[in-house]
Formats: sequence, C-alpha cells, structure tokens
Amino acid sequence: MDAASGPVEVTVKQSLEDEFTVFVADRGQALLRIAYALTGDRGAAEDLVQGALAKAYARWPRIHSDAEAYVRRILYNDRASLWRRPGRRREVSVAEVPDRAGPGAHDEDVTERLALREALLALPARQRAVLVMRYLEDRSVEETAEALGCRPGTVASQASRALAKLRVSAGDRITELGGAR
Amino acid sequence: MSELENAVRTTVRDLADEAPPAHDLAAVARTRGRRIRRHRHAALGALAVVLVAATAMPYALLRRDPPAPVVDPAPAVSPVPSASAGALPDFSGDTPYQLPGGAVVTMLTKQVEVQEADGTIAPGDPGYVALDRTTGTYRQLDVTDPDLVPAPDGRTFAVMGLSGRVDVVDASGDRKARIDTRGSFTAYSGPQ
Repeated sequence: MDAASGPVEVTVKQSLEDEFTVFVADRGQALLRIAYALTGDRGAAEDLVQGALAKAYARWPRIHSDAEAYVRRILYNDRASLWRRPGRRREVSVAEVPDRAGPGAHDEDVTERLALREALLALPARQRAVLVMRYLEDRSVEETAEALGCRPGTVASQASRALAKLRVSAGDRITELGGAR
Repeated sequence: MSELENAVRTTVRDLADEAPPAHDLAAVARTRGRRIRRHRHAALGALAVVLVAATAMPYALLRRDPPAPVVDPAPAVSPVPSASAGALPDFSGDTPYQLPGGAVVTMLTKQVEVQEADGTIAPGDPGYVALDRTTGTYRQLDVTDPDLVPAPDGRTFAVMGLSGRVDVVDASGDRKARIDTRGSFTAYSGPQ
C-alpha cells in the first residue's frame, strides 16, 4: 500500500469503528434480551452477547451490512455448541428461587408461569433456542431454520418435542392448557 | 395457536424482560474481537510460511548441484540440506513471481496496520494481493475476509460463510455463486 492511501484507510477504519459503536448502542439491549432468554443467567447472557459481538467485530468489514442477523446466528449457535461440550450441566442455576404462590386465581396463574419458566430453562439448548426464536422473536419456521443452520422439518420437530416436554415437566397445570397444533 | 403456545410466549417474554441493562458491551467486544483477529492473523501467517516452505523446498533441493563423486575416504558432508542454495528472487508486483521449478505465486496476504481513534497502532484486517493473469501484474483485492482460498485460475475465491455455506466471490468482492454444504454437496446456486 502506498503512503497516499494511509489517511484514506484510517478514515474507513474509523467509519467502521463508529458504525460498530452505533450498532451495539442500538441493538445491544435487544441482543441481551435474547441471550437472557436463552441462558436464564445474567453473567452467561452478558458473556454470550460479548462473545458474539467480538466475533462480529473481528469480521465487521465483511458483515456490517447484515450485522444483526450475523450476531443472532452466533448467539444461537454458540449457545447450542457450548451446551454440547462434555461436562456441561443440563440444569440452569437461578439466582433467586421464587416462592411458590398459595391458593387463589392470581396465585395459580403465577404458579403456572413459574412452573413453565422452570421447565423452559431445563430444556436442551437447541429446543430452547427454537422456542425463543419462534415465540420471543416471532420468527417463522423457515427463518428459524436459516438462523440455526438446519432444515425447517428439524425446527418443527424440535418445537414439537419442546412443547411436549413442557407439558410433562411443568405438570398438570400446563397439561390443562392443551397441546400445540 | 394453542393456549400452551400462548403461555410459552408470555413466559419467554417475561424472561427476556428480566435481562440486565447493557453496559460497556462495545468496549469488551472490541477487546475480545482484536484478540480474535490477532490469533487469526498469527494462524494465517504460520500457514503462509508453511505453504511457501513446502512449495519452495523441493525445488530448492532439486536445483542443488549433484554431489561430487565419492572417493575413499569419503569427504564429510552436511546431513541437513540448506534451502538457501536456491536463493529466491526479490518480489516485484509488475511480473508474475516464479518459484524455483516454475511454480507461480497467485496470491499473497498483506498485513496492514491502522491507527485507532486514540492514536494507537493496531493490526488491521488482512489485505490480499492476487496475480491478475490477464495483465501479468499483482493487484490489491477489494476483499478483507481472512478465510479466503483462491481458485486455480486466480479469478475467483472461496469464502467460508456461516451455516456450512461457501461463497464464491470475484476480486471485487461480488458474490458469483453460493454453495450450500449442509447435509450434502449437491446443492449449488449460481452461474454454471
């Protein structure tokens, strides 16, 4: 590279740096919401997002035009691959153990949600990722398959298994709500 | 949508609402991202050295003069051959760079340093210099992805993408084809 191109390169680099800063400021919280729904843990969620953003930063000149989709894919795939490593626990630790509600309509509703939440956090990472994409991000089966790098049929079967597990794991209250279509 | 699905939707959104506020995500991501770049550049540099050595060594050895006839007593010889016997010519971007034996270098990586906003110098993205066979000169590619493999004719390059996809791009970075390697190698889109 000749000397005359130096300032141009610095300017382009600074522009990309600014773009990255703006992207994180705009979308960081949304990404953190997804990560927290995937992990159920503050520290793990922050680590997951920072890792995905670091990978995005390392390839920013190439992926900046479609950065959010890239970071989302990293989030979901990193979470799933982390889970596959030997020695990982399948259960999720919860910072504060919620009290069980007593009798009453409102309390039953709260109890039901807590049971469902616990069951959700106990799902395998892949199945939870499918549910988070489908029900938090409102992604279609095809979009979910695209992000997770699998076939739409796999997404449908994972979602079906996850809902079946939730019905069983969360107990009778959830069973009374009925099954998935 | 069933009641169970509605309940799952509510639960997932309640859970997401409990996410902690984002603090310093960009700063931490930059630090970790630079580390990833450094590791990647180091790996690329090591790979380039190995490739050049593996390519040049056989030619350098073949060019050595044949050993002198053995007389009795046999003269002492060095057990380790030296590659410096076939000295490589200086690189010039104006002509194809030919290795001993006739092999031509089609692409080189070029490390650049950039100045950060705070004035510090940091490693930039790797640059690529490729041989343009039509002009016989080397030129800088408008492609920065580090996972780049040139085609034998030097006109297109394979870039590893996400989810098992491989993009075929030209020297301007324009995608010419996409190969989906998920499951099988039969899916292919792009000009034939």
